[in-house]
Amino acid sequence: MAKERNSSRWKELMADIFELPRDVIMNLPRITIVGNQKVLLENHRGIIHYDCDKIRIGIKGGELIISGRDLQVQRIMVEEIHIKGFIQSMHFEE
Amino acid sequence: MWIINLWRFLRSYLKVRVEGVNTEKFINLAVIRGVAFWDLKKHQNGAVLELPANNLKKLRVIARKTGCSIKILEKKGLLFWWRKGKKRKGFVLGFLCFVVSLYIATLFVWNVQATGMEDLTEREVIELAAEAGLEKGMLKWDLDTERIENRVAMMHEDIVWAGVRIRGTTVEIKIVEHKKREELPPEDVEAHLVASKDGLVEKVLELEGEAEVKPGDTVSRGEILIRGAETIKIPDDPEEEPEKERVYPKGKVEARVWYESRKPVPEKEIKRKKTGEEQTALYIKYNGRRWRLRGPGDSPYQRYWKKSRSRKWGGNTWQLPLELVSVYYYEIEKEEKPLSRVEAVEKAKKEARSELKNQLPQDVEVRDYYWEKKRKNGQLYIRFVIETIEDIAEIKYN
Repeated sequence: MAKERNSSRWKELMADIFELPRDVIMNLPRITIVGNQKVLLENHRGIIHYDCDKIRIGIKGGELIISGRDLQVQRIMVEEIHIKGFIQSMHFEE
Repeated sequence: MWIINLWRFLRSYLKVRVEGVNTEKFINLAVIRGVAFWDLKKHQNGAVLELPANNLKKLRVIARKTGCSIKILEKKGLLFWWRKGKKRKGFVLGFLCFVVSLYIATLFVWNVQATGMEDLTEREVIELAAEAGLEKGMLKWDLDTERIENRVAMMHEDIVWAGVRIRGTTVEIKIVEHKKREELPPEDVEAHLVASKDGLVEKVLELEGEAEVKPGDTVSRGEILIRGAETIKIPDDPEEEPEKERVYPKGKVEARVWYESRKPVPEKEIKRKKTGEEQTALYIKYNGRRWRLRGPGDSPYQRYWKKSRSRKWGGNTWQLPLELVSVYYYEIEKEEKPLSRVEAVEKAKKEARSELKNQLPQDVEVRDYYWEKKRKNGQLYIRFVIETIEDIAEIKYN
């Protein structure tokens, strides 16, 4: 565990020094939101639970919870997820 | 987005319902195994999703592994149309006939248009083109545009250049005609340059003919400025008949010309103003006739300002004969405002000046202008004068 934290810190440092995007180096998700209608999530780790009003997606170190109305998974691939619907809130959980 | 939908349609896809306790597991496994699907939605205790038809087998395997079952709800796409079409041969045949006949119809020239004519008429040009080998109803691939361009240009002496362009089933011919030659004077007629306006001669430039006036002379309209003449050429050989030769006058006579305008000085000003009241009438127009859809048929106000706007449909080559016309009526009120002396004089001056500006010929040099107040029969006038320098010579044949 300690080792992992060290390596994470090391990566963060590298990202800062070389001004590299963190999502590339640290394997973090990159989220693009279009209004309240679309969410594009890159770098996910699968769907944990989904419903019409709530979708939980695994990401590095936790999960992302999207709530709203009429949510649907428009496309899903190994690297990215497209979600369509009326998004009301998004939050991260560890 | 539509291109994706088209692609999906061409590949054909299925709408299925996945039922089971843990559909999330099923989905993640499908993603990992690279089975593409889209539009996933929760449906009671399962999921509805769409997938390409050829992925169904792989998905069934995954479903068995995760303890889910798959039910097909809808079949969409070309493949299924094809299967249906096999059963409905007549319909498919009819559709194909339609497509083929539409295609065949586009192979012909349906319409010939001509533009750019000045003296020639469209009909004449189209007849010329027909002679050159461009006819309605011919096949488009028989049309040699270059040859027709050359032939049309050669066949008529007034045509300098012809361009032929195919736009769908319409062939457009563009024509450029010769510039008109300057009109020649009528044969053997006496001609003089005369004054077109009253003025004071400033400068005389005689190129041909004999000047009758000199700088400083006052001329009135119609007076001869430069006289044309008839000369008799005495031949070297005394045997020959002496030859008469007419000299047409040519030259410029610049003169100072005055334009004047009188305007009474008003005591009050009448202004027209919109009151803010307005009504709109809507008409539909077809073939020159029109019907009122709503709104008043005539102006609801005594004093009004009317504006109409029409909406048409169609493009350059083709227009719907239907037209929608909106007529707006704005109520107007008159307002009288007393004017001070200075304002009134200013207003009269402005009116007089704009009237003069309209009278002035284009491109003349304004040398000077002045104005004065004058009283006549108790009414105050503004007299505004503009002085110009212009060529007043004008040819006149007798």
